[in-house]
Amino acid sequence: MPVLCGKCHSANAEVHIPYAKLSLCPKCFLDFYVRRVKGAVEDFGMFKEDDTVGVAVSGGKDSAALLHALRQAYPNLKVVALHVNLGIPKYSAHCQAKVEELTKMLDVELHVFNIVKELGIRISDFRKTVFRKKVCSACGTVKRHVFEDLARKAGVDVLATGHNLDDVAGVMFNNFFYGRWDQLVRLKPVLPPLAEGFASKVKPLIRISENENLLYCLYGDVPFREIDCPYSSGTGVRKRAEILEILSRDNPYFRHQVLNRFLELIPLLENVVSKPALVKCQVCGFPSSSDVCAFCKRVALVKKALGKG
Amino acid sequence: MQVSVRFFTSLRELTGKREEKLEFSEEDVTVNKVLERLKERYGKPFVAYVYDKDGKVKGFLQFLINGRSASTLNGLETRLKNGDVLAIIPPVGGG
Repeated sequence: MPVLCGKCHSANAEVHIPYAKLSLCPKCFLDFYVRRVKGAVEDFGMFKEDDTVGVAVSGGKDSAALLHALRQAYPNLKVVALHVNLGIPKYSAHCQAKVEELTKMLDVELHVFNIVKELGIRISDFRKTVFRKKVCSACGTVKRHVFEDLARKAGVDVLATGHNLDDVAGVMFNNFFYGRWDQLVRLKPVLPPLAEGFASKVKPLIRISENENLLYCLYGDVPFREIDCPYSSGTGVRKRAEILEILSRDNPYFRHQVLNRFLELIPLLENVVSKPALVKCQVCGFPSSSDVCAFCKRVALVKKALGKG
Repeated sequence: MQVSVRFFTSLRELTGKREEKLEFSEEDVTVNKVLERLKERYGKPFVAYVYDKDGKVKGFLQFLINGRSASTLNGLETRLKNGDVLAIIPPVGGG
């Protein structure tokens, strides 16, 4: 028998939220989702309404849902979209096209950094270096740096990323078991700026599951990329997801419990985990824990492999 | 009995519809039976999207029945009731 929406009690429910024990019709689900994003922004004090918020948009479902939901929750907020084109044949053009479609639909200013044009390299070039098939970690370093740079140039106060509950709980779990305390404390929902002139970083989707983001895009007609990155094996992420999936089977609130317990633990850890002293990178001038930052080291490595170094 | 099917992304392009209402004379209608009916209606492109080369439904597709994942019910053998909404959720990796 069809189930009536648990909110409006008039339309048929099409989305079930296990942790909230709630079945909703598409319209009430979209409202529920936007309220959840707004709730996280306000509970964690992520930004003020007069801030300029930059959203790091990859074209994937999470960041697409984030940009769309922020626009619905805060129609008067100054939001800009930031996108990195990684120069991956077919895939990057598809991602950028989806981001352009989304930002046009939402009337949001878009800033694009194309690594082929700006740096003269492609992400796939990392396969010619010691990274070989493991380009994801190098790609992460490049994106983190470029988003910081884009945010600074766009005059952004706060940089919002689409990290979802599954991502954060999975990485927290992993960091805990490997004792990577310095990395665990960096999973806070709000991170202060690296230095003066840089944006603070926030994760408004920290309490929202990957599946909810997908359903928000599907039922909200939000454009997002539909093809996978050819270099993503996803093995590590999948393994973490499987562990959490097993533990969540009889307890749909398990991921939230993981998140909440770690969020209680992080302030205690921050008192004992030593922060690295930051210096200016000799190449780009960004704050870095060594003379040359990880981004510049990686770019130099690729250029050397390409004979451009 | 009648079942509504929701299509998204590629399936929406393939069928040219956001939703389709299917009528069944029998009462014993499962997710598998709905897919068989759609297979007859949309032919090869639908088969390529939903089934693997061995004729099995691709594991990464999600089926929601009134919002609940078929995997938490009786999988593809979950019985549908009159008025139920079946959503076919595309595979999407990464964020």
